Amino acid sequence: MKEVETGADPAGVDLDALARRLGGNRGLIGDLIAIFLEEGPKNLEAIQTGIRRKDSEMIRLAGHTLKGSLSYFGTKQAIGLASQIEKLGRENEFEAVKPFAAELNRLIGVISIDLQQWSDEPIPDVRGVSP
Amino acid sequence: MSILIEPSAPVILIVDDSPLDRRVASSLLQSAIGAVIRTAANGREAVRLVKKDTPSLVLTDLLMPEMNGLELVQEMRALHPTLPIILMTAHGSEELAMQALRAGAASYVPKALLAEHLVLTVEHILTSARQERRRNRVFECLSRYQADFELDNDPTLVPHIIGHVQEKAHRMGLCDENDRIRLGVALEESLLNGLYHGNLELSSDLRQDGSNRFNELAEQRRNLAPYQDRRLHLSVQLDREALKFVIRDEGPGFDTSQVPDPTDPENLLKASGRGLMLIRMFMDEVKHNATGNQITLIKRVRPANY
Repeated sequence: MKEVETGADPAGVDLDALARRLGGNRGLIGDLIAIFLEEGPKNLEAIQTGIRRKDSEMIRLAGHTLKGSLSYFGTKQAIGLASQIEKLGRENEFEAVKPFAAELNRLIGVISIDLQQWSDEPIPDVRGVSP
Repeated sequence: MSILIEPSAPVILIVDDSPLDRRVASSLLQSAIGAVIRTAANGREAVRLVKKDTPSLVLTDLLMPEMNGLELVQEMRALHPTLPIILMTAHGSEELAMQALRAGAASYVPKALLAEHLVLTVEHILTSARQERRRNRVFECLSRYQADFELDNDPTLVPHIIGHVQEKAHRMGLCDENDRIRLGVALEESLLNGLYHGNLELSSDLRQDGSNRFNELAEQRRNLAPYQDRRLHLSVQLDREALKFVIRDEGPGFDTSQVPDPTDPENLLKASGRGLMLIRMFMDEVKHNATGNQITLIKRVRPANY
């Protein structure tokens, strides 16, 4: 079993916390990682499309969805960026949202590499935690 | 391999544009209560699914494209007023959640606490909904309901008594939503008429001068002989033929020949007699006794109502 420490991981992925939150359901954690690896890029693309089209609702929704998805993996910095994008989208701040979108894009790249590695390795063991 | 679904397994429609949240909620509900899960990515898709096959419960996100959770709750209230809806809330959706709860959602669970609270909340709401359906079935078996009320002259009790009667009639399947409202209007007009004009002998003219004289005098007379000893009587009889109400006051009565003709549209423009006009239009039969201190209202049950 590999120990995960929040903070030690540059992307801040905390699968221990997720395992505790889901009662150690390994199959479910694997599913969530797979879904995130597929959906994360789609939401990042939606933010870029929203910026191009000046579609505040598209930016807001994609930011909101990413914020929720990232919260499963305990990635605080990325959650903060997604939250900021959601807020700026709501406020029609299309220029201001660009640097946040670029930074989130970079960070999700790192998170995705981490999650990809984790999905190839055993999920943290949290036996004893009731479902 | 075929999967055998227990007939009693609840069918839960999960509505969320986030596939992760859909997956987590599905997994929790499938493993804990054996729910049959249907999913939709937004409110519009959910409405389509509900129209095809009504689930036992809807669990919905709030911020979604096309149709958000509040709009979904409003649409469901019109389509299926008894279908329970639970909200999944997140930071940024608090205001929508408040509006959706006011619009009729049964409960909510914060997304960050799905693992801790979702199953218990769903079980609780499903149990309540099942009990409500059983109560409704018991009422559908009730073929006749009869009750007599004797009120003092407190007008604040009137809406509660009307609500009680409306609920009985509606649950027995004797009136639809529209008739339920019209029944409430007719009963309110009749009861307040008996209370103010019958027992307290107050003239409608006192209302016209814009002062508060009508209410002040009503309050005085409620504690003054001979008015204070007078009672307002309501007899209710509900069966599959008709809804019958007899309202009697203990005042001196009035000249029933002055009742406006409900078939004359001109009377709709007159200030006086508006209550009786409404009563006559909403009821199938309205009768006064010779003294004018008792009114009988009959609303026949339309076969489609049950």
